[in-house]
Amino acid sequence: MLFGYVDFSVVGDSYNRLYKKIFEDKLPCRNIKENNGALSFRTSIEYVKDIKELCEILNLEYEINNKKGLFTLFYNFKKHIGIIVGAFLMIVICFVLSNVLLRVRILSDDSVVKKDIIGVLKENNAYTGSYIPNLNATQLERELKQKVDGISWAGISISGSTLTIDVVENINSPESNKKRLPSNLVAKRDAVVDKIEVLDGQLMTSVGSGVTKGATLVSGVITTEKTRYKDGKEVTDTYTRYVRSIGKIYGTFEETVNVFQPFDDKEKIISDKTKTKRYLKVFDAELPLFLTFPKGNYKCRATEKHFLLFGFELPVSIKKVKLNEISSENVKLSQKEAKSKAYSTVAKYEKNFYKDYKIKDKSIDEKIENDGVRLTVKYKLYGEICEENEFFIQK
Amino acid sequence: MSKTAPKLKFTGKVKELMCLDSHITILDNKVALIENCKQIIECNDVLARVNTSDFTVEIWGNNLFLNSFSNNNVEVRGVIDTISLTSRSKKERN
Repeated sequence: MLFGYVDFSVVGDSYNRLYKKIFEDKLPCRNIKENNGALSFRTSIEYVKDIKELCEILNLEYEINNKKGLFTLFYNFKKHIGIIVGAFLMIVICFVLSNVLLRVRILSDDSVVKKDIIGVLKENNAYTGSYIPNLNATQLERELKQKVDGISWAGISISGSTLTIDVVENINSPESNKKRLPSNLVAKRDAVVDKIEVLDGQLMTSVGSGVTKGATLVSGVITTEKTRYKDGKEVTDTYTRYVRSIGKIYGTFEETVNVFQPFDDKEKIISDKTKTKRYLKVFDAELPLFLTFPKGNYKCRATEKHFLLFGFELPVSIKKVKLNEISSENVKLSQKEAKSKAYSTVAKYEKNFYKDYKIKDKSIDEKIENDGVRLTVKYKLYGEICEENEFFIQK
Repeated sequence: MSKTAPKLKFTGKVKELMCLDSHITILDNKVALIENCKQIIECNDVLARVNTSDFTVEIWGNNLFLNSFSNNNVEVRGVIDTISLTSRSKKERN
């Protein structure tokens, strides 16, 4: 009587045949009692059909007095479709919240490590929306430890619908030079030496002298000679020591850069027409509220609006993504515009390549050609002019 | 004068061995459980009558009612006054 029961009241002349049939068909009945000429009993909801058939076969009149239990309750709810839908949704939500991954928390401040971890998790099908019973935390931990640089330990725990990854980042060992090969310091460009700072090695140049590209400025081969007298004769002993040359040589040098800006140029145009796409965000899981996403290059701006309940922010939000198409268009630049663009290119070049040097002098030669503007920039720079060059000792 | 248990016939012994005898369990004056029951004859407030293979069991009392389970067991509940067993004749049994 788990799903419910029904109280029957049967009226007839004799109940012997009914008793017999109930017994023969093994129909479980309770509270069987004859009272005022009627037989009343209670039976489980699943046997109601059998009892009714039995009464009809035996020509007995029956009446159902009471219906109770789970089945009856559900039957009564048939009229209230809202309650059924609500209960069904509740079951679905409970299932989703307990079996689907909705949030990934990475306990690290390093954005590179975070990005790498997310990449490894994606490779192993662990992302928002994954089925939690399919996740193997031990295997994920091993993968993270093996594949993510910059972490020495990873621990994974799954609580509810949240995957928490705790990592211990590598503690970088202090920088030390482990190179043991002897080396020279050679000039990396033609320059005039201005300043010398040598810690080890044999200096081969002097302040004020000019050097050519590839010339040895500091040698790693140190040769010393000692003179002694043996049997009244002068004997010279030569000792050679190989070292790693350490030092910095600063100098002044010149460099020329050519920049050409054509009048026919391509320009990036951002469209004013905005396409808006919405996502329903539950924790970290994003459910698209659209059918197709446009293809192409777009400028993207995302805003998020959380639902509030009594002033409290819920983990459910609507994410709005605004897209503006980016297209390139051929444009004809004026002389002034082309010049300005060429100068900005020069500025960018200086920022990128001469940030370690001091610009002592700069002269720009402007030339307007038929198809564009050409700038020839001559720099007089001051900075480090040497680089290390290892060599092998022949035995 | 010494009393001895009645001698069982072969069929009686087989019945006993195969647990085909009717078992009647009485709990105070509230419940009487009759196992290996054959048929319910009647049940009203004061009298419940059921047939077992060899006997008709009459239970007298107040507020009596029956619970019938699917495995040939019948439970009589209420305030039980008397329980009497009447042997059924072979003809009646058939």
